[in-house]
Amino acid sequence: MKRFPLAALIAAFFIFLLWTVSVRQALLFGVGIGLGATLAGARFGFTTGWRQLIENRDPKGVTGQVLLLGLAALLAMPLLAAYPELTAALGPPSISLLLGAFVFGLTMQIADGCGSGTLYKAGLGIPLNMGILPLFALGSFLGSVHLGDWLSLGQIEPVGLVDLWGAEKALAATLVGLAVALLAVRWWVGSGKAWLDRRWVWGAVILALLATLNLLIAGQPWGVVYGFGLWAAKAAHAAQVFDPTGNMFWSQEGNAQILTQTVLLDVTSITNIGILAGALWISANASGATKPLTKQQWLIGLGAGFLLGYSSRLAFGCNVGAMLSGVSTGSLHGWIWIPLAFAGTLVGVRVRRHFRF
Amino acid sequence: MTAQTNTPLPPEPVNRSTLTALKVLFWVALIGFLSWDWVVSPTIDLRNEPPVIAAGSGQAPTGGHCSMAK
Repeated sequence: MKRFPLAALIAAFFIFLLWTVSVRQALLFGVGIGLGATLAGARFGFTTGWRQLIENRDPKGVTGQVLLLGLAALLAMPLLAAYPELTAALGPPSISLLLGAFVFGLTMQIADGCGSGTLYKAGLGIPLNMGILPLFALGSFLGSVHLGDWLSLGQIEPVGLVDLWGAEKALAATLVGLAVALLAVRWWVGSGKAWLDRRWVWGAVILALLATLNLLIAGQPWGVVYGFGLWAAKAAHAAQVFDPTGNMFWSQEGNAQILTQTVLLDVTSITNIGILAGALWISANASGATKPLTKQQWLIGLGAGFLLGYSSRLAFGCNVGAMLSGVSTGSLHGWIWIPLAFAGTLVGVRVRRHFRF
Repeated sequence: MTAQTNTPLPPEPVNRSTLTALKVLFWVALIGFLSWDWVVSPTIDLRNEPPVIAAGSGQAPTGGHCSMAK
């Protein structure tokens, strides 16, 4: 489909939301479109950036991601301090976080996409990612169903640096942490490498601005995984194979309420739909060429997609909810997530190579 | 006599019509799910809208987030 009729359809859905759901949801759909168009247009892949660093000692993708985290933190932390009604992405440091982040980092290399990557690549029409999306949703749902059992293995209360130290100190600590990460990258890649690439830089700047808009409008940071789990939970509840009243996660007042209403009222779902739409709009002018996969690669890729969803719930977010939103809003769990997911990725790139993806 | 190898044949490229069919299937499934959800869910109370901008509204956000344990 060409871009103009697509833009007309997307505009019609925007007006539908504005008229029948709420102004806030229409605005968040618009933010989602921007996120999807930027992710797809800049090919801003968290997964690819890490893989290029490991396999090619190419730091450009990771530098773009560090820039994104730093800019998002610069914008988000003062807002969190100024507006008490805004919330940070606070996940509990726990056994489930350690395991979930490791498995997520491993499987995202096989599935060739994290949370946002799976969304925008599905929007672009890449067959494996379109196939992964429903399995990601199923995994995310089952992860949320089992979350109480995983948390019983050990957890501490979430730690928010802005609450603990105030915005200035939290921001300083975050920027120092990101600088240390860049020093580690410099040690790994050696001298004489190009560090910046235009598409990673403009992608980082726009994504940071849109993530901040999401925080201002929704009152909470950008997330992806919750929406997927909610969609599968609604389907399972409707099919009478799942009773939320007996479940630790879904019986909580907020989640139980969200489960009874349309997903168009859920902030994460609406930005997810926007990301798909934004990437679809970008794909209208693309060639559509995709790398063919064998049956074995399909099976392994789809299995990895299911595990992506499951592990992202255990890890309290994916690259967006835990890494970007966690770090930029001062959550300790984001800083724990990164090294564990990177360790998983070290294994994942080898598995990926073994199966010739 | 030529040596036999166990190298598997490369997979066939996805042709354009198959790719288009997959994309259509994906979007039909998504729109179908959203339509079903819209039909079975309670009507939205438009007089009880959330604030357009949460910052400065004084109201706590009501959405779920993947970082939440509860």
